[in-house]
Amino acid sequence: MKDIIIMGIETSCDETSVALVKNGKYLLSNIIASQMEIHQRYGGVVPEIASRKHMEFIMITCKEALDKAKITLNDVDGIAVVPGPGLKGSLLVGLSFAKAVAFALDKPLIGVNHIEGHLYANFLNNKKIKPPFISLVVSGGHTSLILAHNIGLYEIIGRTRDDAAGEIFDKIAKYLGFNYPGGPIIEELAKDGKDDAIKFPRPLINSNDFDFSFSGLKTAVIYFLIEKKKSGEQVNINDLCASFQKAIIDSIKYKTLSAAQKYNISSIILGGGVAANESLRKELVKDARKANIKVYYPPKELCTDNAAMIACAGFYKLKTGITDSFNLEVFTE
Amino acid sequence: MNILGIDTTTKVLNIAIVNNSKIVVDCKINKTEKTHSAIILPLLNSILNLTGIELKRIEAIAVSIGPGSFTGLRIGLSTAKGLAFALSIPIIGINSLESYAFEWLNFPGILCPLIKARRGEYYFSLYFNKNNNLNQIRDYQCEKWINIKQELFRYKDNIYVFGYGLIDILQEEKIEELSKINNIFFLKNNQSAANAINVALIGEKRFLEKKCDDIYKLTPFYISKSEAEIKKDRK
Amino acid sequence: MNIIVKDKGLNIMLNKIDYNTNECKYIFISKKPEETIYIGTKLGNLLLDGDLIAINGDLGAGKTCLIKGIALGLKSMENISSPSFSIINEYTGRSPIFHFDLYRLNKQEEIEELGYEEYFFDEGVTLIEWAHKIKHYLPEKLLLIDIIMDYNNILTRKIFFEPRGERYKKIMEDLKAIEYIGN
Repeated sequence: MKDIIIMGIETSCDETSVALVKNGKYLLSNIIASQMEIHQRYGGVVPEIASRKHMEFIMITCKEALDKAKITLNDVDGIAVVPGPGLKGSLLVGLSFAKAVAFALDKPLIGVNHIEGHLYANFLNNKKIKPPFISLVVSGGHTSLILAHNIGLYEIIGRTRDDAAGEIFDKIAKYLGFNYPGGPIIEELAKDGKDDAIKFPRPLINSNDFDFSFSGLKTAVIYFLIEKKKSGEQVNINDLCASFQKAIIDSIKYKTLSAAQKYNISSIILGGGVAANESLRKELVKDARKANIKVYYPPKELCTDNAAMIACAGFYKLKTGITDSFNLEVFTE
Repeated sequence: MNILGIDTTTKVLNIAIVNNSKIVVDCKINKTEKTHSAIILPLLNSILNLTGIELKRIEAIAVSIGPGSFTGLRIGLSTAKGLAFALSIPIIGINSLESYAFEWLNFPGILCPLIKARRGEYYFSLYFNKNNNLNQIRDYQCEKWINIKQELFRYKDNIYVFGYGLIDILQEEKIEELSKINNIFFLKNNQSAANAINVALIGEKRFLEKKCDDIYKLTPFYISKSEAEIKKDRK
Repeated sequence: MNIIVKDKGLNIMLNKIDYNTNECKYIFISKKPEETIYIGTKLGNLLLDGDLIAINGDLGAGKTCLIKGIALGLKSMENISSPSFSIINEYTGRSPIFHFDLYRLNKQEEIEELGYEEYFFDEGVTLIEWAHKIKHYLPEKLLLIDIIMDYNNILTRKIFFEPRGERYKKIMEDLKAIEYIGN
């Protein structure tokens, strides 16, 4: 059986990332521009702030990925790229570049939805998870529940109606004066706090669907802090973080497990930056076990945006015969 | 020797192929429902099929790097980089104003190409012909016509003004095409600024002179607004 | 001069405050999120392609809430979520809607990387949260909205509207003049 190497390209928002994955399992390289030490090697126009500078980084990220994997473009069997959702100007760079490379090499082009990509982060270095399964993708930009009927056949069964979970972690952290990224700081402080010290709301917990809402929780925390400031009372920061985090986790847990039970699913897959949160993982695994549901999550470095998950998804879609033509368009939502 | 020219900086998607300074094909598609992103590669594919030119016989990719549409530039330059990289051929980035000026290379005087920007301003530069090459006299800038005019009046030579958006200037000055004010001669208004043929022709020249660009460093041309400029504008 | 408008039991008042002859500000007091959405909807009804609204306010003030209302007024059926991460969300409605959230911008020059000119001066309605971050890039003519939280009355918001330019002055006068059946 010939090895199949897929190149994944991800430029949906801030990060420029290119990765090479063999047979959907082996990570040959996973390069993220902001983490590269290329600034020395390719001096000149390379800007200091890497965010969204895709035009400047796409070439060197791609070259670095190939060099690290010790292969050339001729060894690549398919190009997987994210056409959306994301920021249009960012998406266009990766998509146009990927299309051109696929066209010139006469190799298949595979479009991978960014959210779909997060799902596949679990397939790398993990035994293949058989569909159907439910995927929870929770990050700074997304909070979505996806029912995967089959490879390439997904249904979004729930999403946030306002803020993403990762977003309110970061915003409350900033409000409290912490640096970015605030999520891990809150998680750390929460360890020494009581998660039932403050009763924050779990919005939409009783809605008859699998949607999420976090902006009400965000304002509840802000109001709580304003009231405390007015009355001059001290706020126990650990209790605050623990209670706030618990409210988020409870909402997520409840909706995810309800969805799994409604659709009779025995596997739940996590993805996105917030999937790195250990409390979320622990609580979800524990409660899911009671219902005989298994929970999978990727290693932390594959939770945040990266091209490896895109390359992996590309492999599975290619094997299933799902490819795209060169008129593939970007989409933002 | 086939050189591919790509211009996606305007509402018109333009792809051309030149061979030894002769035009093989020039294809323009006005932006409709589909965007440049959806059309550019299928169009290239069709062109190659219809002309019988194989992709591997393209020796270099010349691409317009602006000034122009933000999204258009990204599509064109990223596509050009992908092609050049995968085919292991050189890439040459050409400024839109230069590709405009190239049209009138043989005119005896100073060339002033204009491209309409936002808010009544125009991108412009100045060139003259030296040994059949374009020589740039002053740096690129984005200015209101009234300021450009003042600067042009200061030259002793004849200055030829042309480009995309000329019609607005003609209306502002209440004159017709092919008329003049002092030393400024107005040529014809261009229907669009798309110019893949000139992009390819200049690209071919540079390719022969071995003056190609570094694929890692080539970025869109952008006249950024410095804070000083912005504050000045708002007075 | 005040105009009091009654609509299904809500008492809504849109005041025009003349601090001096040059300034022109309107204030709307919102007692709860639903009222913020309400005034947003009425505003959305009046908007056309090319309009630009800059919305400032602290975290939790209700900027996205107001925008949900505006989008409803523009007959959008889409889910209006926070573009804090993606920076720009685009929706369809009576007009295309470009929803900017500049919360994550560290330097105002970053807006140039986003192709802002193609949105601000294009055919659609542009709504910008945290607009003060790009003061120097905003056009001179726009509608400036400031949402101020009332720390004594936690659900209340004072929403200030400052129209700059004839078009936006007209929008505010039309908004002020709206009357409803069902007193």
